Amino acid sequence: MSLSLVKSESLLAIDVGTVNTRVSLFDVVDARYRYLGSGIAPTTINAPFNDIREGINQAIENLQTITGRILLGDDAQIIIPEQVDGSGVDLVAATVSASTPLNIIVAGLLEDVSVESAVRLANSIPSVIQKKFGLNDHLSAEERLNSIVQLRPDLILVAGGTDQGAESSVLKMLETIGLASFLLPDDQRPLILFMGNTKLHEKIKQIPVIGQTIRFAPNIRPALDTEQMQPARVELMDAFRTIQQGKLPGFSNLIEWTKGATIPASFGWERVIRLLSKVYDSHKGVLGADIGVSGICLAAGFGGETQVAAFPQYGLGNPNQHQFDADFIDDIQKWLMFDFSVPEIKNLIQTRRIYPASLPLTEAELDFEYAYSTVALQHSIQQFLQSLHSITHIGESECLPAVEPIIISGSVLTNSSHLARSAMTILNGLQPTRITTLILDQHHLVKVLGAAAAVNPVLAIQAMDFGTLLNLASVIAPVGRAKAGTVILKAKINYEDGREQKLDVRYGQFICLPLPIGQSMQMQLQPLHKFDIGMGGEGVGGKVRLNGSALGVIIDARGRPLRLPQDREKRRELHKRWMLALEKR
Amino acid sequence: MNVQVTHFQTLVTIRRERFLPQNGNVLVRKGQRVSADEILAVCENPPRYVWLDYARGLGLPAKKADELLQVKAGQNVDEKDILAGPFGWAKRVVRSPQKGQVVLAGEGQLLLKVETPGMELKAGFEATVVDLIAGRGVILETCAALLQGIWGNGKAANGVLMNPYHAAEQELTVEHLTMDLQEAILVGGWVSNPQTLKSAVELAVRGLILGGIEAQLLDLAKEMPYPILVLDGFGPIPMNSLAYRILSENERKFISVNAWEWERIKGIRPEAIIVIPEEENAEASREIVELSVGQTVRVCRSPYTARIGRLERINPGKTILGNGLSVNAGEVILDDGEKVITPLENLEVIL
Repeated sequence: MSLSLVKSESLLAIDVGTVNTRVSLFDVVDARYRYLGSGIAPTTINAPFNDIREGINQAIENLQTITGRILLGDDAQIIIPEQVDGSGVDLVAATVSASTPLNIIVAGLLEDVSVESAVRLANSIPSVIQKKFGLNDHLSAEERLNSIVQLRPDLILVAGGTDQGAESSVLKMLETIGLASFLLPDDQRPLILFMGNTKLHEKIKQIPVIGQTIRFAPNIRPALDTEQMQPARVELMDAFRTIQQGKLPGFSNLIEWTKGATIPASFGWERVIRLLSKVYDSHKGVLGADIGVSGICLAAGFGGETQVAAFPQYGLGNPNQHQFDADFIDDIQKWLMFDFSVPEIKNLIQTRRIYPASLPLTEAELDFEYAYSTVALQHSIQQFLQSLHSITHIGESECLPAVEPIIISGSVLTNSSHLARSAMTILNGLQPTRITTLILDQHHLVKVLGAAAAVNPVLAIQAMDFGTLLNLASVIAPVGRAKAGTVILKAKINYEDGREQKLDVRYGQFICLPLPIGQSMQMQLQPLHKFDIGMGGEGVGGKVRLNGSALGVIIDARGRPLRLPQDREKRRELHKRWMLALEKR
Repeated sequence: MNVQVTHFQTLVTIRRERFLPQNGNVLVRKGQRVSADEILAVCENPPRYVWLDYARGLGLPAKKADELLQVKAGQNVDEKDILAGPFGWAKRVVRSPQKGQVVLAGEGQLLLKVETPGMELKAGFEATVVDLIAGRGVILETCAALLQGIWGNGKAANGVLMNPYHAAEQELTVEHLTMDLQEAILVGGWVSNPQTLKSAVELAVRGLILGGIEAQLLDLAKEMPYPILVLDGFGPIPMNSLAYRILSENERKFISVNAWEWERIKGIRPEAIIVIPEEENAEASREIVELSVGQTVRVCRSPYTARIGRLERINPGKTILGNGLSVNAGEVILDDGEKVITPLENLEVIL
């Protein structure tokens, strides 16, 4: 990247999370943007503060102590721009994942077309879909109207009608929605975002009761086989800001400090992944995952096209029935090394719901945290894969497509000194395929860099380059099926120091080759038995250069999707063996 | 570091806001002493709407049906009042299915607003109204013993406090529920058997205050008609020593149990209140304090769940726990003298 692109601008990035508020400072050092430090304080969304500014100011005060740089003025406002004496910052960007999920009603025409796309858009921010209206839902206008009046959503997303497509059924739906909205008290009227047939905008404006609450976005389904999310996301982001200004005290200040560059944390991820997907290998995608108290956020990008989804149902800060489902708990038990009965797991989940910031003190409870995260990632990625085919253009699959890198954030993984456990959680949860790199967002910066990218994209890219992210491991995960013990991959390894190693990888094996940060190796790989390592198809091999990382190179030949033995003892024996492979690297 | 405060206090001045979810009528005046069951304010719940196609009812085109419309927007109607018609030899009419108010009428259709039962806001404990919030609610104040919980089943009630088996470290079982406890609010260690909750209904128990409850009983607990207040944790968790002592000392006194869901944003917490009449100069309750050495704390995670102790030291920098986590930690001396290291995030300050 040309150094001339670097403007001399300092930036304060604020992330208002459910539990903690983090502020991070970036500035130009030696002609490059660098991360200088972070300050953390508990988020103050709850009583008695009920204002996120208090937590932001406390976090900034902590950052001032760490960096010695004055950022807050006497009036408790951020000093903008940077002053001659070095105090203050030029730019502020922010992401928000605190606050309760938005209550959303989704309306459309066909369940598997416009309604599905609208649901996908709603899922890109932390939201609860209270109700879905479609042509075939058998609901009367009266029932729809009463649903809106009783449920009082924050936002109604209306899709439907391809361009040049349906008109009257869309207008009829909007008349009911508009009337219901009109019947609510002024301060409880939902925003309505229409993202259907663009030809209807003028006719919709003429519906007498639709009022000032309607906004328009380009059609998310301009044709039956085309989904166009990005423009609607921009409008959704704007609607999010408007709603939060009414719901979240202190949010208006954030908007003011950031000059509008405040976005939901999930959109921060989406923006970074979009940037990276343009920079990295165009044959592969880029994946980001954030595991937090408010849920899991996944973002994927392929050649600049992105998909993002929030899964608040897996956040222990968002208690919901899903976390107590028998299947979900059964899945958690499959990944536990310690004995936990079903009631004990439920007790632990409930404790975490009540104390979302609390931390495990015992080995057993830490084991539970990893198992919970593994299953939450598994369930999220399985749902996410269903929406990925619209950007990968390779059809639906039960396995993750080739992505490089995978960036992961989340305290459960970054607080631990057991990097091997973190890597195992990612491998078992996301089950990456072919060849990829796992990168740990150890300072929780990726999402705020997404917000920063809107005001300074060079900073966002450079800050990620320089020491903010930890290269956790390189992963080779051949895709295919064979009998356990069958040789499925032959590898010839050339280390920088001239050493050479040959390796026959058998199906079911889990191998870790040490490769410290700063070193690299070249691997000649030849998959057998039609296994695919992403070098051009089944059975196609080639050369790959891998860089050093905290854990080295992991060859995960356990198969995809990963299948575990039914017997608990055999399962635990396997877990131990895999962990041993990582820890004894 | 600011941390959550939990009160297990024998005497404290409690101020609580009581708000309607939307505008309504406040029924009490400033300075008034109110009982726990007193209704402070009322408001309407969201109405229901009935959409009537009177054109179809009359069997006429919309324009023609409009000429026979008997009501206009804003008009109140009773059940069976004629809305449109009569028409034809049979004198066909469209009648109101319910009492309500016409919201919109025309083009053959009519929207009727039907009132649903209103909402009443109760005091929840005996107190003095110290302030009014016009149309929305009141601020109540009283001196009392206060015990704050971590979970409530959404119900509230008042009654006489009884301690059936005098042991915080024992499970409350069906065998403990004897006839002499009818209509009382009971203290118990924990509940793990659904039959205990069901038997309490048969005994017309007015409430349960527990140290712990199995999480898998929470759905059932929400269905119970009486309040269930959980003070300490989920599972076979005994009641903490401080809370148990306060409850034991106040046996046979009148207690209000407001086992509401803990809503952190609104500052609403499940709690039990034993009003102490005519006390003055009691310290005001607080919700958040700065964590500091010497404070009484409660640990919220295993293996010390619900244990009370004193914060002896806050470790500088990060501490690596036995399980490998790198955390901000402190040293706590538990009530039995055991010294333990715990993450600061796992501590609540007890006042």
